[in-house]
Amino acid sequence: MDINSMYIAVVLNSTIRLMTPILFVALGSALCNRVFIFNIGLEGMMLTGAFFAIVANHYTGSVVLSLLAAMISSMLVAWVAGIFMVKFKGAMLVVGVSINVLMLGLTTFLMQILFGVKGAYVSNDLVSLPKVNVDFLAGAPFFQTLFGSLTYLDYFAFVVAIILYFYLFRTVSGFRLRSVGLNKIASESLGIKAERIQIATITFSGLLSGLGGSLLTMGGVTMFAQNITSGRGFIALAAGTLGSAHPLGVVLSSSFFGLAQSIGNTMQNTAVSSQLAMATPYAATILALALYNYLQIKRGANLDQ
Amino acid sequence: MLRIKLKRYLSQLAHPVFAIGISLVLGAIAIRIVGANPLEIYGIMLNGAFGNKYYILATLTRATPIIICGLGAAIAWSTRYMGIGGEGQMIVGGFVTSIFALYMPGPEWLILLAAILGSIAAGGVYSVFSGWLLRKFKMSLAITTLMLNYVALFVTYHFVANRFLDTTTTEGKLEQTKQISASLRFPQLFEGYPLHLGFIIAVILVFLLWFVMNKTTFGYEAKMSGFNRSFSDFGGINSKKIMYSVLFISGAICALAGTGEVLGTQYRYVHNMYVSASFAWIGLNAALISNYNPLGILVSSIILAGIQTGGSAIARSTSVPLEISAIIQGCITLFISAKIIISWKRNKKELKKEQIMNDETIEQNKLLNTGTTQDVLKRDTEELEDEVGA
Repeated sequence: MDINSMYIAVVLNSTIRLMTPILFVALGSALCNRVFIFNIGLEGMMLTGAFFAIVANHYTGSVVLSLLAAMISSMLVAWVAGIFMVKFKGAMLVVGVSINVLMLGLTTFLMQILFGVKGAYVSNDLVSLPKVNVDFLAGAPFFQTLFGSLTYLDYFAFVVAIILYFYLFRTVSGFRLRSVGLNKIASESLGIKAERIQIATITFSGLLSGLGGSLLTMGGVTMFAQNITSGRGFIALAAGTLGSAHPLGVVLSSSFFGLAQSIGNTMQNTAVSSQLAMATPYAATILALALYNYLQIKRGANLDQ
Repeated sequence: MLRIKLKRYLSQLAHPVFAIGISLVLGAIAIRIVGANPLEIYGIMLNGAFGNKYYILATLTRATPIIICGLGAAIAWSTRYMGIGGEGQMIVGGFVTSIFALYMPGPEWLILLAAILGSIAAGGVYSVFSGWLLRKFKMSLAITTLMLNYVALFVTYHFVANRFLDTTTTEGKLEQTKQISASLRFPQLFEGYPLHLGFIIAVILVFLLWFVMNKTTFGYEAKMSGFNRSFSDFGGINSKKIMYSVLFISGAICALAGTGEVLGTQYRYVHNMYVSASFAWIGLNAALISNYNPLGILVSSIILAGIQTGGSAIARSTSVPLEISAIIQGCITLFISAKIIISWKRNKKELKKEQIMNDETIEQNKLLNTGTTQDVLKRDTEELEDEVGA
């Protein structure tokens, strides 16, 4: 096994680990897009999940309870956001921005109160997500590196994508969900409870963001830091759009962002300025979206909002 | 007439007041959870924000970039170009200002002029770029501006860390440029207090923007274009021109907020100086609370800045963390966003009563028979204008 292919394996492995938190949230964003909701609050919901996973972790030391706490807490936040967006007719951007400000404040506030620290909370008592054992691949070092140190939750992200694909395009309920996004009034006239579906979708996107957030705080590292999501929710939003709100498309777009971040990280060890490397994923997002939309427009699609 | 107008203004105020009230209650619950007395804490907060001359001036200093960013956001959002790029525009503006101020040779007035114009141009062009992406590639302004914020942050970080780093000071490991010379700084308005010329600029901008939005053809066209894009196109308004102008002005204003911070408070560009203080987000919040009304932005920015300086006062003297102010702020905008709250209170009966009253006035006008149609028309246009403005 030569050096080059091992290097590729390392980059791909880190791509997977970087993409899965984004993938969870991006799937949520894709679902929201399908019901005509632009949910910028995903960033705050992801942060919520990331934080409460660590809170439950700190008090119970149980992985299952931590994941549950992450899902429930971010679901609650998402439900509130959904009520404000759909029932109270709040502008989606405004509600989303407020959720982000509020949750950034609240998580930092609670971190100081519960853990008595500012900035970041690390402890040896915290448990991390169990990793999938890949020792049986010892004969094939390329694959051993590629699939090394991945948690079960990382794999689960892809499973969720496939399930959502079947749900959206192969079930009646999924069809109803999509009909709300296509034409809310028409779908309501057919007796579909559009608003209820919208709120439920936002709430479910919160659950997914919670899982994504818990991957951040219990996956590669086990800690919580103030604003640990640092814009990943926004990237996921872009990934949801770039994947044209199709679960499998979102897998592709998320892997693109994972790769961009992974390449950015490896660039930090080279002569290229680490600051510019940090800008890469964001610039790549704009480029990729522009290219994608350009191709769509050329095909004659009407992208007017 | 006057009574109806007054009533309308009061009902406009009712919503923000209600939102702030309920947010303070939620904040009180958070304080209670920490085990402190909410009234006492709010007392400290009020004192820390407006308690004496120093605190008031500190609050106004903090409000300065918030006001300017709020204005920048307001002009774009009221035209329904809802970008969230204020942060990036501030970064670009502040960075360009500091580079001009540090490295340009020539007389001081020329340097200062170049620094400010450079900032305006950079922020404006940067903002127009996202507009170009919207027009050319139909990319959502919210997403592009968000991504561009990070690009601006890290690209300027690259230049600050690798090209213009201040290596003279040993204090910490701050990534910052050198200090700009004292003659280029904004003067303090009161000797020994932090408030600087930037605040005056902010207040001037408030009135300028109010004038442009309410008294000029451009402002009218922009409002119309935001109200109904296809309708205004049909009416002969060039929505492409409006979009680029609005986005340029919005970006330029936010860039000025960055300039003000560099020339007025920090005297240098420090990496992350705007992001950590989240001026742009709070400015956007101020714009939302006041429904894009420039005068309202002035007031709400000062209130929001007060919540922040008050929050630091709490954090200094009690066990309640600083983030209580972020919680209160987040709640305020969340409740501001909800349109239902106001119609909650006004039940159908009251609405009906109002309707009858309005009908009566029309009838009376008709009976008076002098200037009837004009009066009714005038009233209707006024109402329409107010709605458009809202």
